[in-house]
This record gives sequence, C-alpha cells and structure tokens, in this order.
Amino acid sequence: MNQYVKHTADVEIEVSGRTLQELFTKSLEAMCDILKQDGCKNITHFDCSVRVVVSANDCTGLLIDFLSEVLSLSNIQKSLFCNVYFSELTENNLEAQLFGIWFDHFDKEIKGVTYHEARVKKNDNNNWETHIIFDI
Amino acid sequence: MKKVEKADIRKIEDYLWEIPKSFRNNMQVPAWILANEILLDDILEDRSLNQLVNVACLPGIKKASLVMPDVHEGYGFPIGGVAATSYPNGAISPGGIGYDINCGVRLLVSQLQIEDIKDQLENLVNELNKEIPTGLGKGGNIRLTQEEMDNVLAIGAEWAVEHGYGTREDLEYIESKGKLADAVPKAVSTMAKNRGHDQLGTIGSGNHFVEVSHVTEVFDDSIAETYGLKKGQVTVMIHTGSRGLGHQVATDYIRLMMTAMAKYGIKMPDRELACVPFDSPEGQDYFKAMCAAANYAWCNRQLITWEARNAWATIFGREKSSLKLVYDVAHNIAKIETHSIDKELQKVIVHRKGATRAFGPGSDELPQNYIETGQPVIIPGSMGTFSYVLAGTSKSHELTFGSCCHGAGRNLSRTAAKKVVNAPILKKELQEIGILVEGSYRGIAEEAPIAYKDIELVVDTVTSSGIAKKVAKLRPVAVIKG
Repeated sequence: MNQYVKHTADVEIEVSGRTLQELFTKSLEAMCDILKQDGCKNITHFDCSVRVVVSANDCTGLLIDFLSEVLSLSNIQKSLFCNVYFSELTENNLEAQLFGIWFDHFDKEIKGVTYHEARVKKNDNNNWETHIIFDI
Repeated sequence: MKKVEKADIRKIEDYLWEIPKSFRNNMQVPAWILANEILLDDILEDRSLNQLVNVACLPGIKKASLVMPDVHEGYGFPIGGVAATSYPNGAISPGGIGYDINCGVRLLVSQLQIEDIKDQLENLVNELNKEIPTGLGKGGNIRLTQEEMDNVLAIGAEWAVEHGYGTREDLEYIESKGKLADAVPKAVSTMAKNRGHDQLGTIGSGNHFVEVSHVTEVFDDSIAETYGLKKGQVTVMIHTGSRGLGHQVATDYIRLMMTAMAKYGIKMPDRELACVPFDSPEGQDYFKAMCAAANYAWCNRQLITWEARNAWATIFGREKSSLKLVYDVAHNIAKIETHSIDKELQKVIVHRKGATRAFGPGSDELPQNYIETGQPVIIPGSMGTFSYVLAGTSKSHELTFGSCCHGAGRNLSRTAAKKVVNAPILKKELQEIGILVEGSYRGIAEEAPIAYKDIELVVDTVTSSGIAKKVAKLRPVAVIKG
C-alpha cells in the first residue's frame, strides 16, 4: 500500500518495494490510481500494449522518466496502463512492455511527474523507497 | 536542509520581508516575501520559503528571488514565485514556469446586468457546459492536422481569429497580443503535439474553470470605465492553460536540462530547478518551445471565448451576445523584459510561476487605451469567494519586476480538503447563496473555498504595498469546474 503524504498543492506519495521491479511497479500502480481511482481493479482483459525503453543517469531519474513516459502514453492513447512486464531493469536502463485498458476520461489530470523530493534509495529494512510528487 | 523560520526573516518595509543572502552560502541574492504578517505566519507553515531560498541560487539571478502573498509550496519553484536572471547568459529554468505553460486568466464583460440573467442562469450554465468541454481526456471539437498545429504554435490566438473564432480587436487585449514571436514549432516534440492535437477549446481539470460573475463594487471609477466595467455588470472569467501539450514540453525539457546542466558546471539544490544558460543551445530550444506552448494556450483561451460567446448567443440572442475581452494574462511564463535594477535599466529573463504580470502606466506593451491606467491584473478567488480586477502600477516595476499575485493561493492540500469538505452539502450551500457550481464532487471538494487563503488579505497586501490598485470586485454566480 502506498502512503499519501501531505502536500499543499499537489499529490505526494511514498512508495517502497523489496526489489527495484516492485518499486517501479508500485509507483506505476499509484499513478494509475491517481488518474482513475480503482481503474485497474478487476481487470479481465487488456485493450492495448506498448513497449517503452528509458535510460537515465541514475535510478531516481529512471523512475521519474519512466512514469513520465507512461503518463504521456496514457494521455495520447487514452489508456490506463495497469500492468507492466520488465524485460530489463537496471539502475540506469529499462525496457518494458505496458498493458493497458482504454478509458474515455480519467478522474484527475496529472500535469507532470516531478523530480522534486524523489530519491530512490535503500532504507534500513533493505527495501527500495522514494517519495514522488505529481503536479496536479 | 534547515527549514526557514521566522527568526531568519527580517522586515524591510511594510509588507516586504527578507531572508538575507547569508542564510545559506549558495544563495546568489536575498529572498523577498511580499506579505502582511498574518499571511507570513501562514506561509511559514509549509516549505515554500525553503523553495524560495533554492530559487535564490539560480545562476545569474538578479536583485532577489520573490514570492507573492498567495505563495504556496510547489516543486522546485514555489507557486507564486518570481525570478529574473541576467540576459542573455543567466539561467532559464522550466521549473520556474511550471508544467502548465501559460496557464492564465481572461476576463470578458457582457452588456447585461445581473438582474437580466438571473432567470436564465441555469440554462446558461447548461449551455456553457454543452459548449465547453471540461475534464481530463475530454477532446475538443477541433482536430488539428500537423500543419495546422504548427501554425497554432507559431501564431497563437491569431490562428483562432484567422479561422473565425474571434475578432482582430480581441488580439489587442491579450498579453503580448496572444503571440510570442520567438516560438518555433519544431522545438516542440511529436509527443507534445500528439497530446495537444485534440485539446484546443478545452478547459481540462484541477483548478481550471469558467465562471460567470457580476461586478459588486467599483473602487476606481475612472480605471473601471476604461476597462469597460460597471457595477452590476455580468462578466465571464476563463482559467486554463496549454493542456497536455504544455505539460509535455516541460517534461521533455526538464529531462534534457538535468543532463545538460553538468556541461555548464551548474549544480542546483533541487532537480526540479534544472536550468541552463539562456543563450545555450538547450536554453534556446526550451525558450522557443515554451513560447510555442504559450501561443497554444492563448489560442486555447480564444477558442473557449468563442464557445462561451456561442452559449451566450443561444441563451440571450445574438443582439445581446457581445462578450468583450477586458484582458488576458499569463501567470506561468518566462519573458524577456527590461527592468530597473541597481538604478540601471537591464534586460532580464523574468520567470513567473503562479504570478501575474502587472505592468503600470506608460508601458508600450499595453493596448493603447490602457497605457494611462496600467494593465488589468485579474485575480480569481475560489469558487465561493470574490475575485478582483486590479491595475498594475509603476511600483510593481520597482519592486517585483512588474509582477503581482495570481489568485488566493492554496492553504489546504487536496487530500485534506476532501477530508473536511462534504461536496454535495457544499454545492447546496453555495446554491443557497446564489452560486451554481457544476463539476464532479471530487473536484468541488478539492477546490472548496476552505482550501484557499483569504483573498481579501492577499489583495489587501498587494494593493497596500503599492504594486497594484483595486479597480473592481466580482462575485461569482455560476462556476463550471474543470
């Protein structure tokens, strides 16, 4: 379960995962939930699939750039990408297949996925964690 | 990083406070806060002043980083922030403009009095709702081809007028006449153009809206007359920006600048303040793309004006359908302007993020009939409170690089607002005091009046400090939420 953190204007979440893959997947799920609350619940099929390739200087940049890429695709394809399969995921590169369902409209408009406060790091429990602020 | 506390701040003059440059060793200039003491105490509650200190670290920043009294925490720059950097080699930072490039407000006036529309208000709201697409993902009725998109990006509101969605006179009453000449469509990515191809003429969601109001009070008869405002008159206010196209331009260039910064030896305390020298290839590309996105936003507000005029004509008839444009102001933008700094006129890159240009009398940037009054500064309140029309003054040039506040400013997060607001009850309460609100319950709760600062305090601060003058007060009667 992702934690919502107090932020005056935007939506800030705290995400953690045992692996990088889990962190990235949970971050994607959180973004989908902001776009369309419970939009990914009880999905029985997918309408579309897209491949994404992202590179960045570090893991934080990679996560934010990945979410930004998915957000752009969600807006263009009017799809909620509820599922992801990572064929490659390192601290600097990823290659993934996204699976989505079409939506006429979302609940909320996310203007941008920001780098502000984002810092992917390992916590004391050896889990990966970060904060993410979405500009709403 | 040490949080800014009241003890770190000193009063320079009434309504102006300073965090000295010595607060942190990487500050290039001091940080200034325009606020009265009550608002200052509020502002200290969140992290906006730490963000303001970070802005004071921008390479080439001049005089001071500034926040207006409606400031609240953003990401990178605080919302309500102003920063001017030296031209041509000071920093340009997409974070200083924001994701919604040229988000702004336009005000239209009708020839009708509030008594003339009372019986038709519900029909008017339904018609506005029908004409103006709102909400996320809602496409408009216009689908741009690639060539048309490039034209919109190049000439902004002029494209709308050329295609019959407005008049030449409208263009006179838009900041920069609705077109930034430095726009270059090819600096805008295909992804951004794809996001924008069906969104012209749409409001979007969040805090965007179309509002029908009426003038309840006139403070300056002469300026109000020049602006075409009189007591009882019905107005329409439009608040939106560059939609997905602008969001994508910001995303693309923040990503690019994060990598490019190292090349110029720039390190910033926050990644969202990623910046490069304005005259670098990356800086120039961003500026050209930002100008193009700003043009898209002006074209968008022009199309919404056309939609609002259609709705007006359907309800009140063509002969009473005149909705005249008072002015259109941007509040998320960067502009090349000349200001007096250290008693010398200097060209600077002014970043305004949640701040409105407020040029005073004499500026050749203004329409001919506003040159003696200064420009209209449109300050929307929340959906249940008053809005204001102010006039820019020469003091704004001296103090704030010709800038003013842009609204009431949030003081509750959206999540907190949803926890304390019962949207159906709020909607009913507003209706009981004569304000119709259309929108999702979630949107109504998030944008409830309680989530915003007291607009009276914000407006009193900017007018008492002398950077703007009160002209008229508007009371909402119907709000269509994005």
